Amino acid sequence: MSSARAALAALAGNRSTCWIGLHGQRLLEVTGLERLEFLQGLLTQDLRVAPGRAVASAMADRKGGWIADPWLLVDDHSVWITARTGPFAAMVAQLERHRFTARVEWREPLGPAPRAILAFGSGAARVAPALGLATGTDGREGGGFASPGGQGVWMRVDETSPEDLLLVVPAADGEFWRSRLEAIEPPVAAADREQFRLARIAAGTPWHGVDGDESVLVPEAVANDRVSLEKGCYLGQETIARIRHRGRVRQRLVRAWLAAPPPAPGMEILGSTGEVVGRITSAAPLPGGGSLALAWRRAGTPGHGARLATGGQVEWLDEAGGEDSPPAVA
Amino acid sequence: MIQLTEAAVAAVKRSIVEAGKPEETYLRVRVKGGGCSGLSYGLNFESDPEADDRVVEQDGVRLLLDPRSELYLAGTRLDHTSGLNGQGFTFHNPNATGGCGCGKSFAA
Repeated sequence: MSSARAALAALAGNRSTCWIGLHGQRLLEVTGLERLEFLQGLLTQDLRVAPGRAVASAMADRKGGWIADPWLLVDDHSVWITARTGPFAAMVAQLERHRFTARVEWREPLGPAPRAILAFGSGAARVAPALGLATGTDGREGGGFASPGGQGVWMRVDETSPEDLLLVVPAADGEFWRSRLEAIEPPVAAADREQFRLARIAAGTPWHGVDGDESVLVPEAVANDRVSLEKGCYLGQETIARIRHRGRVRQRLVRAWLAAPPPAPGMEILGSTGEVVGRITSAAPLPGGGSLALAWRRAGTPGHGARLATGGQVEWLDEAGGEDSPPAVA
Repeated sequence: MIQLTEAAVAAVKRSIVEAGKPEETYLRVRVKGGGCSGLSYGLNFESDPEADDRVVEQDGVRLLLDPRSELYLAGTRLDHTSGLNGQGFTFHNPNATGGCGCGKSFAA
């Protein structure tokens, strides 16, 4: 087994459950008679795929540029959308620009600074029932719930694994939920930023504003399961569909193992003849040495011989796509 | 102002009957946000106008236009086609600067 694969296997074997506060996470509630139709025309995900369960989406501009990476939860009367502040603001601006005559409203029910808590890691599935957040008999996993300062929203998101639990609650309730989490047996421990970043990178989850922005195309940045090509017309869909059907991207955000401490974001990755073949966007140290990174990898670059511009072997963990190895179509 | 072709007038009247709605039903024509090119058209029946709607009557068909949509629909000809390639309403909008392959959205 390669060093990279061994490192990933070691991470997967970690059986601890952790929590972390996600700073700057915002929550939008979209209501109104035409909320589903309106959002279907603007988001890449098909809102019909999993009612009552959170799904990852993206939002594109007209040319397919990546402008947001929200999580969506469709329940009976609302669509809940959560994202970090930067992409959240871009997303709301896009909604406003396209509202026109749609019978739709939105608001931030918890204000602009709610408290967001993510339980993640192996065994995170046990956290929701331990907190009294029940899964519905119809398979629903998420929705509104009572928090001391008002209604919160919970959803199962896949930031590091499908078991992850996200709570978005009134700002004043953070301490209450933190103590509830730490009272669960076995305890859910507080994680630091690097632990969480490592888990996110290992799962290959890109963050808009950290790993990419509107200058990259949605199919280059996000997993295919965030994009629907079956639901019909939405903003940016023509470009996205063209790229997916041709199976060609210029570059792709992929995972890489580095035989070096985490480099600064923006560090170039060079090929065997010194040409630039990629660029680091996020990196975190591995417990056994070296680090794990998300990086842009140019399509068609060889799978071996890459190194950091400052030295240190780079082992790609994912394909970049290209004419010879098209990205899988879901 | 929006204009309906003869075929569109007949198709609207036929649709009202087929939907089991009263003859005096309004057809709302509007522009919505979203779709590949950023804007798309919407057609639906309504029983009453909103306060700021303009009501346009042509050959017995009553159209409702909200002020915002009207800006984008000025000079538009609404046609109805039926043939081997499918049938439906088509918009010929002089304000559209581009469209998408699926024909459901436009840019202005």
